[in-house]
Amino acid sequence: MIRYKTRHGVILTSICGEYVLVSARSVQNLCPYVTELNETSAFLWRQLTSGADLDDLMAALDEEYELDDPAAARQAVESFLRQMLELNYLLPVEQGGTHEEE
Amino acid sequence: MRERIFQIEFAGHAVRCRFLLPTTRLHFGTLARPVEGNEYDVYVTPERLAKARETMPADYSNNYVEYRTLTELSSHVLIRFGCCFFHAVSFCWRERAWLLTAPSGTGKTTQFLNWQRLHPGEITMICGDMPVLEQRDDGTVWVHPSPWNGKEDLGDRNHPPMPLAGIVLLKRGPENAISRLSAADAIPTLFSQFILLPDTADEILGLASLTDAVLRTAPVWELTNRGDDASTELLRQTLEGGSHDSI
Repeated sequence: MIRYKTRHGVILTSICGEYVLVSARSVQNLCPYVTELNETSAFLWRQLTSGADLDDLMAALDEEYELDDPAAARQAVESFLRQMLELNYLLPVEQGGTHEEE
Repeated sequence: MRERIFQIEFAGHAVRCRFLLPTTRLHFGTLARPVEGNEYDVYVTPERLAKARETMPADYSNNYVEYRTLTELSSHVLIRFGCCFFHAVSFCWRERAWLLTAPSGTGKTTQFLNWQRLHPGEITMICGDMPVLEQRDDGTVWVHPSPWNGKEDLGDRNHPPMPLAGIVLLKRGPENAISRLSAADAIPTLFSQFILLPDTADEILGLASLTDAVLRTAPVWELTNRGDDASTELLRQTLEGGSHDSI
């Protein structure tokens, strides 16, 4: 199971109730400066800052939101992870190693 | 060699500046006061100047490039105090400050000049290019003049700070239209208009706090416009009607 790590220099913050990822200058050549997240995505991001894998995220999500449809939720989480990886906000970390390019 | 350390106040906060080129300080006029000692907050190194040159028009002199680069460096100092330079034309109307913001060449100054011509005496320029926004403890945001007044050098460096009333994002378009933006729609643009690329988590959180205060204080509109008199009248009517609410 792949674990994920948030990129150093990317900070989750809240502005007027809107969740926003903001990149420091040092990583702006790697990922967007500002990206807005919805509440669930922000919750997942916070789990990822402590190094979660997909199962960890599903467990945390179920505990927080009491999921009605775990299969659909898993698809949504996988989609979120893909998006964060594509935007370079997230780095995959294999057991005993890392793909990190920082 | 004698150090060239000068102190410049932005929004009431002193920034000690070491100039690389002696002629750069002339852009600041009497705002730059020589001070004793060799300690400084901001300095454009030769390497930084060369890098900045690559992003600016070729006909800019070296001292003008240094002068422009000092805004961003100074923002790193000011953000500790809840202040930051912001790319906008700022003007005073009815004792409050209004910001017209957009990328360069989108007609910010044109809207200001149209308004001045159509309604003489109504508005005064605070700063033509990069005013300082200040977040105060009571949640209000104040707009201060700065030495950076743009190509036309329109601005009053001695203008008193004014409370922020509203922000307009300008876009060029074939038709004139104005609409109110939600916080979610306004955040990315506002963030990119601050003259600061944050280096640290504290700076990111400082910018977020200032942006939050701005959005809680002031409504934000997007004006698609042709730069004609009708667009300016549309702008004025909208600000007149919506100046008492925020997001």
